[in-house]
This record gives sequence, structure tokens and C-alpha cells, in this order.
Amino acid sequence: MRATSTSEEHPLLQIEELAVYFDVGGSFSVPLLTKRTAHVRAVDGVSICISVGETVAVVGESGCGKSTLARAVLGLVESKRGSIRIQGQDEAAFKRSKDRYKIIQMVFQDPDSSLDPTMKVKDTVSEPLVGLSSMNKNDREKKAVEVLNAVGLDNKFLDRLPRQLSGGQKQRVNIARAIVTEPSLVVLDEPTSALDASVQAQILNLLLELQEKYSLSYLIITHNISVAEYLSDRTYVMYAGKIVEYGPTNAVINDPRHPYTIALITSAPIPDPRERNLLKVEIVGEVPSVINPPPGCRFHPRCPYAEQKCSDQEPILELIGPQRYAACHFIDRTARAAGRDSA
Amino acid sequence: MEGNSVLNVNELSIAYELKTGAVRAVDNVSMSIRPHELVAAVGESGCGKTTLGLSIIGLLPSPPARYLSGEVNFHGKNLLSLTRDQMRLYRGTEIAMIFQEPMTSLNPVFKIGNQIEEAITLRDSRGKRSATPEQNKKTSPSRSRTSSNRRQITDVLNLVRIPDPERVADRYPFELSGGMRQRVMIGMALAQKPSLLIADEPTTALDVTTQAQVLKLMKGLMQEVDTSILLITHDLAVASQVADGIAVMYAGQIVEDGEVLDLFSHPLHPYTQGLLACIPTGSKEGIRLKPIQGSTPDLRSIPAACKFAPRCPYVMRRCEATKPELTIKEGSHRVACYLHQ
Repeated sequence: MRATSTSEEHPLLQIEELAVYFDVGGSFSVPLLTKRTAHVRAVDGVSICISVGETVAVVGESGCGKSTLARAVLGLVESKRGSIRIQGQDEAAFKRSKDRYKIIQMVFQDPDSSLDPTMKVKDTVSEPLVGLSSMNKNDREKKAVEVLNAVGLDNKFLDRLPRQLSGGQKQRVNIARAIVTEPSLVVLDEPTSALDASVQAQILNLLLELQEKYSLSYLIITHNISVAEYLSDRTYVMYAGKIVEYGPTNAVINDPRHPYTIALITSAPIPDPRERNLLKVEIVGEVPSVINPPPGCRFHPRCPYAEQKCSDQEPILELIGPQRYAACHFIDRTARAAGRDSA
Repeated sequence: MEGNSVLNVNELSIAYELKTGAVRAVDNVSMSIRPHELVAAVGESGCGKTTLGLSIIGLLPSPPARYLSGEVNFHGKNLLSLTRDQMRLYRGTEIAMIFQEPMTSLNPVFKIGNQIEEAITLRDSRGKRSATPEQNKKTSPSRSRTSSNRRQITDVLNLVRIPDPERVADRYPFELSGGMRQRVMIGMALAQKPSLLIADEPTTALDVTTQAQVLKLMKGLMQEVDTSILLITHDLAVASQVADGIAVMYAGQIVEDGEVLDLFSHPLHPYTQGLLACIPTGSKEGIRLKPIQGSTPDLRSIPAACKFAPRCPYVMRRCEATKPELTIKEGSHRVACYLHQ
């Protein structure tokens, strides 16, 4: 059965069976005359738990619902069913978004469009304090300067505008804005995918430093397995709106068990010409539509192990190892296959 | 060695004329690609890799771009000496190019089949051999799609392993996934049977499982269609997986190049070493990443001597005085750094 994966009495964030659907196909002009039959099932029954101080990664490809999940955590999209508990309290207790944002903040993927082009760096970073703290203007600015220094931007940046910053500097400002109110959880949506390799490494290290300094928990949304491996304690793998596998990051990445996780990890290029894993990849096809997802296991049309059962019956997450869960009818076969590959 | 190369770029320099002055986007670049070789030009944004690609196929808008010096020799012919009309005979037929975002490369209002047909018609009107041998007879370009044309369209789609080609030919670009669109682009490019394909970040917009399939396909088609590839990418890991030779670019220059195995087992230039140290391979409990200091340079304010000097952990006085030249270290492995001279 489904996991209750932590011994914490009050996990920082507990998502149970969350579903987020978007309506499509309805007409805006004559809503009553058109039937709204289609839903994009962006997130379809997802349970995730984050303990205090923990870093959890959600990995998956475009359209798997990982960004929608992040937005649901922030309360930016409405959920169709399921529950989100924050510090043990149902999200209904956070009627004012203000209360929620004191605990959870977010860093967005595109460092450019997430900054106001007309606001100076110090104003951008101190603005969250206007609503979320009782500090006066002086204290707010002092706090902003402190946090900007912590993200590696010295005082000469205070009066700059976003267009005077490089991509990496912009992302530092975004991170500073997210942590200036000292939240408990920071949701990082593809925090480095818009950055050059040399800058990505700087930001990844910065995130680890800040986590220690401000005792943060992270929820990292990424398509990049190496980023998840570098930053996270536990990893959830998402496919077409569902979690297909999760567990301790090391175990999931070094010994993937769900056929999709195996495909995802062997597809990620490793920087070593002696190990050309990429050219051995067997997976075919692409991510399915989440408007009409395949019946049964959503991965079955692309899965090398699929049988009739996989299209008839949806697999549920089951315990497959210490703190490890996967949703696959034929998990014993993938174990043999994965073992053979690594041998 | 240069005699049998498909492409031989020789001391090419290109500047962009801007209001604020000229910047040198490609600086004294020399590289060659042999038949059936896949060479990757790797570097971060602004390193000049795309400018290099566009200059080879003659698509660089000039102005603002200005060729300062050098040659682009394609099968021994300097493309830079050709007129615009002469260049058109090469572009698309002898040298093809595919880009990062396949959606913007396909015309959104024409069906896939029509767009492939156009490419085929163009090829036949220039008397090129086609990608699959049995279609070598010439067909006159006509408005109505003949059955032979239709077969050629499905041949192109089959070439890039698109399932159900008849149906896909009847689709518009927006009805296809990103991976399918990039396959169509590759098919159109290779339908001309070019001897050089320039692939500019062909998989950057794709998901990893799709990227793996597309790279595998490109690599597999090289023998089948008898072509060489210049792969332009920011991703060293991708390059290491598919390339035979690698040229690492920084601020318009090749700072290090060589065979892929040499370059990855003995990276010599501090920038190459830095880039490799930036790729996370392991957990935070293991070794922390050692990022390169500073950020990707602004070409308007770049040092005249070694361009990497301001970010280099091993910088010496010499590096700030004179520019290190690309010199052979071992075999074909070249590096432009005073640490190795």
C-alpha cells in the first residue's frame, strides 16, 4: 500500500493523493453551450512528504506535471482532490496566502522573466518583507543587504537593474528574494536549467551553502538527474502525472527499478566517452498526452516489459526495498535487467 | 590530412559591427572535419559556436557580421570566395543545417509532406543524388504530388524512423511532438544527401529520453547517408557520448581540441578542466563541485591576451601580456595555454 515514509510526527509538507486538472476544449464565449469533457490531468494522485531539513527532488520530463505540483504547493493552482498539509496543518488553515508564503517560498526557472525589469536589486529583495514581516524600511533594507551578501552579491549590486546583471547574478537575486523572509521550505523549479554549465555549478553550491546557513528544506523540481543527485536526499520520479518510483536518491539513481526510471537514467548523458550509455538507450516513443493518458500503467506503450496486465490494470506504489517504492507489475524482471546492466 | 577533409576552416575571424564598436565573435578558428566524422564544437553562450556554424553555411547576416580573415574550405573550395548565387548551390544540398527549435524551422501553415516535397524538388532540380538509391531518377517539379513523390516523402520519414509516415506526412508541424519535428528536420536535411550536416543544439529543446533517441538516430545515419556532422552544443556530456573529435571554444577561440578520448582523459586547458569539474556526477556527500569563477565573458570587454585569464586559477603574468597560440601537444591534441608550452 501507499507509503507513510517518515517517522516525523509533523512533516514540513505532506501531500496526499493530490490531483490537479485543467479544463480544455471549453469555449470562453458560450460556456453553457459547450460540454467541457476534456481535462488535462497534470497531477493525478500524487503523495509526497518532506521532513524538516530534508531536500526532496521531483524528476521527470516535460509535461509530467512536476511544475504544476510545485505551483500547487505554493497554492498557485487549485487542486481537484487530495490534501496538502503544511507543518501538520491542512492548507485550509492558510486562508491568507501571506501565512503560507511565510513558510514556503519559490524560485522560478527563468531568472529573467521572474524579475521586475524596473526594480532595483535591493527593492526586489526587500519587497517580500513588506507583506511578510513587521520590519520598518531601514531594517528591511539591512536584511536585504545581508541576504544579498549571503548569495554572493556585494553592495555594488544594490542599485542595479536586472538588465545590468548576468544570468547567474539574476538567479542569485531570485534566490535572495525567496530566502529573505526566512521560510522553512523553498521550492526550486528548474533552478539552473537556464544557466551555462560553469554558472550552474556555482548556483548548486550556493544552494547547499544557504541550506546549511538558514536551515532550509528544499523541494527541487528538475529534469536533470545529476542536479537531483547532487542536491537531494530523496527522489520522486514522475511520469504523466503520477509518481512511478521514489526512495533515497542514491538508491533510485544507482539502482533504478521502474522501467521508466531506468530509461530516464540511461538516457542522461554522462561526460565520459569510454562509457557511451546514450547510444545503448532502448526506449522508444515520447511522453504521452495527459488529456487521454494510456489505460493501466501510463508507461506501458513505451515499456520493454509491458504485457496485457499493464494496459488492463494500473499498478500502485509498493514497497520494493528499504524506504523504496515503485509502481510496476513486473518489478522483479526489471531488477534482473538493471542488475545485468550494471554488472 | 587536409587533402581528404570535408571541411577545413582556416584561421577564420569574424566580427560583429555594433554601435558600441566591433566584437570578435570568431577569433582565428581553424578546424577540419573528415568524411564520416562527427566533430563537436562545445562552449557556453557567447563563445561563437553558432556564428561559426552559420558562417560555414553562409547564413550569417552581413552586416552586422564582417569576415575579417580566413577561409572556409569545403572539399577544397573556399566558400567565402563564392558569390551569393554560387553559394546557393551548396547550401541545403551539399551542406545542410538543423537548429535548436524545430518548431521555428518548419513552416507552421504547410503540412509536413509538402515541406519535405519542397526539399526533394529542390534537390532534384539541382541534379543531386537522393538519400535512398532507388529514387535516383529525376522527377520534374510539379504542383500535383505524384505517386513517386509520395513514395519519396515516406522514404524520408522512414529514414528518420518515424512510425506511420503516410499519416505524419499529412500533419501540420504543431500536431507533432518536439522529437518528431526534429526528426522531420533531420530527414529533410539528409534527404539532400549533404556531405556535411551542421547541427546547432539539435537536442537542447528535447527531453532526455527523446534526446537520446535523436542522437542515436543522427549517429546511425552518418554511414547510411554518407555524411559528416558538425555538432554545436553547450553540453560536454552530450559531446562525449557521440563525437569523434571535440573543439572547446571560449570567447570566439578554440582553446583546446582533439580526439574525444584524448581530450576527456587528459583535459589540458584550465577552461576544459573547469567545465568538466562543473558537471555534477555524484551526491553532495561526495565531492563538492568546483565551479569556474566569474561568469561567461562579455565580448565587448575581453582581454587581448589570454581571454580566459580573468577566470583562470593558474593565471601567470605571461597570460596577461601575450596571447597563447593553439599548439600541438600530442598527436592531434591541441591546446592554447602557456601551462603546456
